[in-house]
Amino acid sequence: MPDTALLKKKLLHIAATGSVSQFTPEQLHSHYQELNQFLALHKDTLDSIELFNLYELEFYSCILTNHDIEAKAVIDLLLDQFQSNSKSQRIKLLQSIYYEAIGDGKQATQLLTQDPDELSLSRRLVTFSRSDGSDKYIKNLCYYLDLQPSDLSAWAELGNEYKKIGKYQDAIYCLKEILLHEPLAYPVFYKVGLYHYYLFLQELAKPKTRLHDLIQLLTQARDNFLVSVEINDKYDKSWVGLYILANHEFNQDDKFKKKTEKLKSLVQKKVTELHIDISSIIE
Amino acid sequence: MLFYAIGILLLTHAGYSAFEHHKLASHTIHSALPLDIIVETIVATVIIVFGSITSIKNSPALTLDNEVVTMDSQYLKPIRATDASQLDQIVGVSEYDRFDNRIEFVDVIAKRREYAEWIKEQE
Repeated sequence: MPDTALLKKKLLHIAATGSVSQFTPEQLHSHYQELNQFLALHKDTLDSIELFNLYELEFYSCILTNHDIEAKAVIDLLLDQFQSNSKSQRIKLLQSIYYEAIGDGKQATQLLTQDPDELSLSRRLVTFSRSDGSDKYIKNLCYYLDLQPSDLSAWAELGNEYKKIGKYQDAIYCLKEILLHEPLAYPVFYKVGLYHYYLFLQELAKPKTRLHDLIQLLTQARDNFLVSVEINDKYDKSWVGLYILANHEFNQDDKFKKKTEKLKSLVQKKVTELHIDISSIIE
Repeated sequence: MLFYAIGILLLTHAGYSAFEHHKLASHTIHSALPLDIIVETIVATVIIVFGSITSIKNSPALTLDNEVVTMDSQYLKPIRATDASQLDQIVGVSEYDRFDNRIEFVDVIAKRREYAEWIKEQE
């Protein structure tokens, strides 16, 4: 059993970053049990902000692990506590997710459309069009971002949608919007580099592409990977990106070989230092 | 903890000695506080300050797999961005992960289906 203070820190970190949405079923299963046990034993030792953040996390854990009765109990508890603030968008969002999960889409839509000024709810409403196909979803995300251009999660979501359909240039534009607000977000720099690389591969496959454009794309991919490792020099994903760039057959041409030699030796040194198993990644 | 204990002990001793000296001096001739009491007080204060500075340590963190990890620097939090992001890297959860996680956009139906299938496989 890990130390209580460390466990609390970990759970609050998960709650703040929303990592639970990316957990594998196995991770979700153990996380659900761990959180329930922690709250049962230590909820009295938490301050109110920590407690309600963990209740919110518990709601997501219950919903994603099909524990609907427990999820409803968490919502009821939050409603009891914040009855005076019945307009809370945060609670309405949880309620709508609950209705969506149990298949009551009508009730969920009704909750989300009560007030068009409640933008957090409008954002959730946009996700309902995901089932109508990428184009419709992207259109709705763009409409939402016109109303709320500083919503970084929505830019990230839009970027991801563009990536799925291979529109890397648009995806890069979305990620650059995030970087305007978060100039130290090294994972975003990594993604910008990666999408430039994908774009390079896309262009390379086309029969008529100017060499200058290809070089530009590779340079931008390299620069973004380098900014990422400049902020966090132990970020292995960016080092792998640089390794792949430096060893790409395009760079083995005599014209570019000299220029990439320095990068190649630097990347090789760092890959060895960080014990990154390149062969397994490339396979 | 040891520094705190020694420092408080010395400070208490110096305080008691000063009290004794004051009591004695009030019955006889008034004299200044002896040098050894002053030195003892200064030494005790230095020990307590040193103890409190060395007690400020970076706390460890838990990874998602409940593994305890510590930072390279034992006492102070790193100032350079490249070092400050080191703990995120070790723990496996970075503050910028919210752009990947986007819990507000989570597809609950798909995640629940995936979980239900996994449970079925386990049975």
